Amino acid sequence: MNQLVALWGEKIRSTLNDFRNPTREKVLRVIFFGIGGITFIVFDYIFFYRILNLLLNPQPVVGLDIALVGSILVDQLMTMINLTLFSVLVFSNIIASLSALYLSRDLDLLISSPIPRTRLFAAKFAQSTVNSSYMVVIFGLPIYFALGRAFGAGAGFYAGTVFLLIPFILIPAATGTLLTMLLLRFFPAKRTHQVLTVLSMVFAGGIIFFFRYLRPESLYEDITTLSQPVFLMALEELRVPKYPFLPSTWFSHLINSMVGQESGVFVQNLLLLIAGAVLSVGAAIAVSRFVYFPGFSKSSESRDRARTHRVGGFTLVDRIFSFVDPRRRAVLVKDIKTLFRDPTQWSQLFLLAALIVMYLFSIKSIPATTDFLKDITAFLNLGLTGFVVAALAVRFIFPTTSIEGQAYWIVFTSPLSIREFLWGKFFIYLVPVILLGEFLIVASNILLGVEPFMMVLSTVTVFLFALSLTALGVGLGAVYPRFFYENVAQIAAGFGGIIYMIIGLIYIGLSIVIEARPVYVYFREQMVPGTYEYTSFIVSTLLLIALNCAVFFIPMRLGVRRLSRMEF
Amino acid sequence: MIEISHLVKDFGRVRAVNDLTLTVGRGEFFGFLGPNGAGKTTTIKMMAGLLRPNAGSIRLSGLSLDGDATAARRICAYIPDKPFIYEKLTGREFLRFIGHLWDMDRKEIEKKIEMVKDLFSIGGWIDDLIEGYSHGMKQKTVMAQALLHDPQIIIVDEPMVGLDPRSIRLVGEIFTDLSRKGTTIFMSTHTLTHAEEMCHRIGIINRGVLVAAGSIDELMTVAHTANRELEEIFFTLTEEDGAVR
Repeated sequence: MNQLVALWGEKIRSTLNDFRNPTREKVLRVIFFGIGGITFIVFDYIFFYRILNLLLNPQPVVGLDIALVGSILVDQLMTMINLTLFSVLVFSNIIASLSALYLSRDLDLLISSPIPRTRLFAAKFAQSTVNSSYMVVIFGLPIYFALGRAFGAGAGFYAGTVFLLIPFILIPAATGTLLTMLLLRFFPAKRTHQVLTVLSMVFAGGIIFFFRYLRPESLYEDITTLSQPVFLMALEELRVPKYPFLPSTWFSHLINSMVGQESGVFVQNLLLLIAGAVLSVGAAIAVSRFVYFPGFSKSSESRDRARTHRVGGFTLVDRIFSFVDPRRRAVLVKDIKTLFRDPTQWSQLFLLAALIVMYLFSIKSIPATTDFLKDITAFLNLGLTGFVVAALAVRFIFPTTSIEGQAYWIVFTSPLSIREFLWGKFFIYLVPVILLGEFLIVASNILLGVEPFMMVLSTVTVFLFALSLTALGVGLGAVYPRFFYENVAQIAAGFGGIIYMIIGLIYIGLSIVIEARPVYVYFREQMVPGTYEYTSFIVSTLLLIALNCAVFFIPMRLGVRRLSRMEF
Repeated sequence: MIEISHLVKDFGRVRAVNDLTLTVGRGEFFGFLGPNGAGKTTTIKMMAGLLRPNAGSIRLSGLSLDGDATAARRICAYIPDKPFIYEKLTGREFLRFIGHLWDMDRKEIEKKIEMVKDLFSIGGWIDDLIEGYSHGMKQKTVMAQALLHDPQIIIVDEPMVGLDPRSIRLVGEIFTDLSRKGTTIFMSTHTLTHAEEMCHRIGIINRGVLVAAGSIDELMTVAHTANRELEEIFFTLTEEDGAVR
């Protein structure tokens, strides 16, 4: 028992020790994430409470049994949420258990220690379960609490939900861990990690497609224009399957029973959920006795096997960029090779593709019928394009300094100055960002059928977005470098990445606000000729130049200064 | 060639390097010894430009690391104690990358790669991805990159860790030969026999203070010992309360 406590306590002690010497950045980080986290939980709760309340107490619609529709929709929504949470839990447990059981740096020490393997497995299993599930609990609990409040449930509901979440989390944790152990019995750890990272990106892209494919806006049309049978048919199309063998279905039945939506199914599903948790955890522990250590041993052996892997030349990349200064080209070619050889990096392109398809699909679905509506939509669409460019930049441009990783010493002891290094990175990334941004805005403007004024305004604005958001990404990436990471996606998800998104979104918002007045004046001129004000155009142009100069130069300067003063 | 003057480095309240003054001449092979945590790696990182001193200065071939950092880095090569390099490149690609960073001509790069490939016997795996290399293979690749651009000064931190005996001998011979040809080598090591065999002069640092620097004979005088064994001199000079100031 002492051994288990020591293993679990180690992580807690490390975290506490980390706080013993708080730096300004650490304190800021805690405050930032604390406030952000609490805001998110509150928003999550209020958002779902309002939705559930709206569904349960809707405005009357002629020809529709509102009470019936409301309860069906709540059931659908909760079934979908439970299924999604369950799938996310299984997937995140596969990834987390792979890290905890096979790739963690302390494993060599622990496996060679006298701790019995089963105890070690149990400790690591608990660690990976907590790592992979806490976010789901933070996101999920406010939803269930909102449901309880919407149905006016008593204290028993809240206590019951918290209790039921434990087996609901343990089943996917054990299932995910079992799958990982079986996979690792046959495949090398590093390759499996890379394959799973790719799969997780495809999975995330798939979820985006799935929600887009459902076209939730169609429900709005149906409920207002169609009769009840047609509406119910539309609802039926959206129905999420309730497979009786899925723990998320058992959990849904239990939650429904506790709020009085179902009756006579509580005991049966409670037994299923608890038995499922006990059996799956028991199975994971039992199977671990036979496959965990052999799998770990195999994963250690496989580290050397990559040696036989030969790769091609990429001389074409060298030739294509032969016009670039050799030192900057060297960094560019190295970055391109790394991107395409590292599955944890290139798999993020799936998310990007999903984002672009979803974006264009959404633009096409917007019912803009008049010229005025088209132009207004195109103007607001600038914000959406800016958001896509910022999302792209935070994934691919912000990590540009950090991806040097622990090999940072190579560049920073070379004759390439920090200024040359960062500006080189800026010019490297600027071209694809401009191309993508302009493609998105021109394609969506063509889909919308906007007039030339809006086309020119959009392309110029997106060009400015590309310039400033790229500089912001390279600059802030150097202000908040993270040279020690396991997965490149962690860089964008960190403190600096969030700061980037906040500043980026404020910048995009301000740009649109600044442009709003001259655009309004232009539309007024179209309707009432002779009312154009040149002063608003000049003022807005000056403000836009000032804003872009600030977002362009300040982060780059800060980045150069921070890296130049950085101690490695 | 290397002039370090009154160098100070603090980490919070801990003084890692304390008023270090040292000169290493052209073509000299200088060994830098000290117990764990004495300030060896900190000094070397300051020389490589990875850490900023709190006080004092470093000049490499007359170029100040404060004012002429880029020019100083051009004539220098740094070999860290841990060979972290780009895992997704092959050894050859990595060496080409280094050649380009130092603005070398393409043909010159290829010629030099062939040279270091033979010198370090890395031809068997130079076209494999670095992620599959062992520690020793990476270490050799890092050493090969250091020689690619004909540096005037090589700053090297614990070069022999992770190398097999044959490679240790090979690296020792390569460094000795380079210093004979005029390259200045500043090497930190824990292996006293290597320092004794290879270095012209040795500096011993303890708790951030350079307690002695010179040839074995000069170190013997400072340590007040008649024993020529470097190990004995080292222990005398780095005894808990016996540091000579």
